[in-house]
Amino acid sequence: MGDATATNGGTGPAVSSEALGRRYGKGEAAIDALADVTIAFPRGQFAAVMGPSGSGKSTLLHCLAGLDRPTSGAVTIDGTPLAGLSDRDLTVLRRSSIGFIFQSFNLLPMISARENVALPLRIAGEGGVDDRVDAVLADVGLSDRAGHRPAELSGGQQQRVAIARALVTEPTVIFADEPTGNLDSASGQEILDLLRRAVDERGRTVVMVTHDPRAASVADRVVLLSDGRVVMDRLGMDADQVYDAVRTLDPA
Amino acid sequence: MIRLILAGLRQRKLRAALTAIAILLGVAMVTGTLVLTSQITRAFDEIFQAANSGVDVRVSPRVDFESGGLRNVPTLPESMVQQVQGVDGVKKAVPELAALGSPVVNGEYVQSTGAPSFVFSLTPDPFRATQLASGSYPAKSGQVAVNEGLASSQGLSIGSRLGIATRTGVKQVTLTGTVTFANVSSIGGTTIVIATKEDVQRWFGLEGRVNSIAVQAQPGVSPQALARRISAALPRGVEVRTGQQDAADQAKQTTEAINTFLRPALLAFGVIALFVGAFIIFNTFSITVAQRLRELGLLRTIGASRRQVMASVVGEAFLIGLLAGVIGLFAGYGFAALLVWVFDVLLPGGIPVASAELSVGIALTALLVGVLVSVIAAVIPAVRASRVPPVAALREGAEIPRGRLSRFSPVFSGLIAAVGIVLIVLGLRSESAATQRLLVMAVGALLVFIAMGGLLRYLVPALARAIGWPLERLPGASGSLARQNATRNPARTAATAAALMIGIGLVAFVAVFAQGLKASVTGAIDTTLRGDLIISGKSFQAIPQASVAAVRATPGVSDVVAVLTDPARTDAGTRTTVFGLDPSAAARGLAFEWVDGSSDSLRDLTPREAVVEQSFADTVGATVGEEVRLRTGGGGTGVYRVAGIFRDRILFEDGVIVSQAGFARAFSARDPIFVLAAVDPGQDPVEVKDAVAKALTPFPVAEVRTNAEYRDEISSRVDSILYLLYVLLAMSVVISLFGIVNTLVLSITERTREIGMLRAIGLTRSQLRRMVRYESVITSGIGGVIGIIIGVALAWVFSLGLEDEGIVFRIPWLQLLIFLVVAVLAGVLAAVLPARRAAKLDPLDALHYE
Ligand SMILES: Nc1ncnc2c1ncn2[C@@H]1O[C@H](COP(=O)(O)OP(=O)(O)OP(=O)(O)O)[C@@H](O)[C@H]1O
Ligand SMILES: [Mg+2]
Repeated sequence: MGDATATNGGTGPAVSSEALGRRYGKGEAAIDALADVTIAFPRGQFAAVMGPSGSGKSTLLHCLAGLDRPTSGAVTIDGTPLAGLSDRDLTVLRRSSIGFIFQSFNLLPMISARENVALPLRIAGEGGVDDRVDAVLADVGLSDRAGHRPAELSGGQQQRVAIARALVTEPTVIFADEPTGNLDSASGQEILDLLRRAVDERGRTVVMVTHDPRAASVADRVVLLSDGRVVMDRLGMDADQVYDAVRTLDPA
Repeated sequence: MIRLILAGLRQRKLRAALTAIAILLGVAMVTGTLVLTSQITRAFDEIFQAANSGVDVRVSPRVDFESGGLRNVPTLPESMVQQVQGVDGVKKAVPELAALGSPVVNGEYVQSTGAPSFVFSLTPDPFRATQLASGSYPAKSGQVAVNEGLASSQGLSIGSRLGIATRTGVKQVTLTGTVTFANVSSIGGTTIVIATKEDVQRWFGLEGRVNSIAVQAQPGVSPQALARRISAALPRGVEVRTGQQDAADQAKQTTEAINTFLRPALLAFGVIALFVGAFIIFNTFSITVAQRLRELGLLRTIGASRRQVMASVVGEAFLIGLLAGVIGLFAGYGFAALLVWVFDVLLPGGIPVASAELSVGIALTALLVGVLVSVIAAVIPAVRASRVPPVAALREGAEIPRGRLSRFSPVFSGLIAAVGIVLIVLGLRSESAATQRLLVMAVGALLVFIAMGGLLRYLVPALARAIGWPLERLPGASGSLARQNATRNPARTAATAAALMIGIGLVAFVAVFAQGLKASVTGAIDTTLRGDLIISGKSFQAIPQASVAAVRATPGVSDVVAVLTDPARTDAGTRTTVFGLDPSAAARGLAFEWVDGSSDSLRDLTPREAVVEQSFADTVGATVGEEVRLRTGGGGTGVYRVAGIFRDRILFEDGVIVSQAGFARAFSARDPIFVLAAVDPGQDPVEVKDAVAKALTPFPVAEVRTNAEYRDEISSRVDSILYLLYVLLAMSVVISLFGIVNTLVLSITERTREIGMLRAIGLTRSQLRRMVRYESVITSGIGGVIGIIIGVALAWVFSLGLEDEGIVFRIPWLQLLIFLVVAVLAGVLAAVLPARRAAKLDPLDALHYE
């Protein structure tokens, strides 16, 4: 893996892929969830990935995050090519350079919000945890709820805990797979605002999968996938433009 | 419904297998015990049948109660053989002699610790139990035949010279033949020497005496009729039985010992194992019911009744129990073989074992036990499953409504514990038979464990924090995650730990108890015995009387007390042991605590007086000046005036001490059971010991030890019993390991998504494995700690109750520490498979659960 100075604040793209392909199954029944995706996400960009169900959005995210091994092509995170990394090195890279936000929050139910946020730091065995956790919790507006268990929080609050958990390691990229999918529009808007601020104020890179054109319009860039290929990649779209683009692709 | 159950079992093969193993091992222990004990009783049956095959009638001295086995066999005058021969219908009457005496080959005393060494007088055909394998039977004095096994293991061949350790010294003889038992599968490590009648009489000081008379009837005379005729012709005090009856009586004695002691004792361990297994079944079903809420709710929405839902769970338990019963039956034969091996290590050659047989009764028992335990353990989870409301199918995170009584469960557990403790105390205080008391106490202990299993859930959070403390200090989050996982479902962790708690608890209990026992016995040796040396017989044999003179004559020995013993009973049937010894030497050599009287009462004992131990005096209500009547095993009576009452709860407990002359008035033992010797002041006891050992060379059965060595010997005897108990209890610990594995596997399946998330945010595989391992260690640590605490507490209660018997309470710290380490290692071991499964989970699979 790359050395510490290159991992954060380097100059190349935060994450990029080269002729990325991911095939499921073999022979006749094989499905190309991703085919020949070459894409780069520069630092400090908020990108939305859209496309019909089954178009390969989650697969792309998983491959870019080093959770899934591509069947062809290459992925580079923070200047480090993923090919050939051991599971351990990959995990450590994920730990330091990547944050995750899931559709269904995925918090540990038996520990408090604060402990959930602290989790990545504790896993990494880092020191000075408390101050950093307090800071991000304040950032997502949950200082007063820090001691609550996930079950005692609303969906929006849980997702804010998840964002705090993703932010606390100061990763280069944050991947979010339909982070607003389980939320009402008001809570969803709060989440989008938080992600926006992470990009604007902290210089993080965010790659977010979404089905919601309004969510996508918050992003700097919209990438449209269909059948595992990038069919559109544009900067600065508003909600109506996104909506039209998606509709042309997905007649249903 | 059955199709549904089968499909469910197929789908969860690993879980079904782990669950079945939990009871399978218990079933194996139960069937193994039944198999083994029937093997042993059959072996004895065969031996006694063979020994009596040619005997129509046997005449032997009357024995009212067992008086110490062959150590001290009553005899008949040899002249009675002629008397019997003269009875009408007798074709042939021959004298029989049997004694204990080991071969001495190349100066080495040959004896396996467990098995007896017989010396038999030669009897003619058809009375012989043996068949010649080679050579010939002894024809004259100085010749012997031995069993083939002995000859081959010692490298003896026809013409070899060997010694026989007898009452009158080691006799040099020549081997003329080897023999086998017809139709007997095994005689264990027993050695058999056959010599002429005259030799046996001379060697064992039985001139003019015989142990029994074997009779062959004339053709046409039935053994029963002949026995009646002989009986009429002989004086009273003689037992006349047919050969068949005699064989049956002899077999009955051993069978009874096996059926009233060995079988229940071994079964107890099987029951413990089943009990542990039941905890695991209960826990597994509880977890799966909780995990299958949606599925069960769905069954309800599509019209299944509560009864049907309950039946589906019970049905699954039934099938698992049946599976465990079938496999457990076969594993039982393996367990029986394992026990044979363990016994053979502890008591080499001690127990003859016939080949194993499959019986319908044993097979049915195995199936029944497997099914019953499994179904009973699944009842509560099944009831709980039946409470799952149909909406559970629709709603995420639905919960089973709690039963009306569940909030009383801590109170309930407390009550059970109280009842258990009361039972234990009652058992300890009760005056009834030992087996009954033990049973009451065992049920009490069982209840304490059940109650503890119920209460443990309330202790889990605190215990997990304590045990997890060092783990949480380790770098990385594995420790705290493990602790949090262990406490998120306290009931589950508690039930899993409870299974281990039982095994470890019992191990700790026997360890503490044995420590107390050792301390009591060695303490009694220290306080009671003033002398320096103790001479005792190998394998609990008596020491030839002639050796006492040899000890006394050894330079440096100042004082000798030879102790004869015989069992006796009062007219009311109270058992006691009568000790015959030299009063003045005993008064010098034994330091008793006197309740009434003093050591002078012992010193001045007349042949018509006795000093009695306090517990005997209390039982029969005897006080100084009163007389006690004692019956002997041979039907005689001795009356003694109580001259003093002493207290000695270990060596002479419940005993009556009389002078040698007083002993001889009614009792027949000729050879002391042990001899105490004091060393001249200024002499080195160890040097004198060596000199005594040298003087005892003609009597290799006698062993001399210093008091300290004797103490060690007793300790090591207690230890070897302890090890046997450990082996038997280890099964329970192993079973509880499967319980931990089972719970972890189930929990990991349940937490698949969480694990995926943790992997996604940076938990490495090894951190994940560590997390699982630590959770396992926390669980096993809880089981270990609580088990040890309960074990020590139970031992404490027992020792309080047995204080009167002189049992003290001593904690073997080192052993307890070892048990704790074993518990922790058990946790590490149990985590291997689940940790590997967890690490194999693809984080993506986990996320796809979304
Ligand atoms: N583990 C797998 N095995 C086989 N095929 C898979 C697997 N995972 C995904 N696929 C297939 O790959 C394709 C892309 O799936 P992916 O989950 O990336 O779609 P998506 O764009 O995220 O869809 P959605 O919007 O429904 O989440 C689909 O056709 C899917 O069936
Ligand atoms: Mg998706």
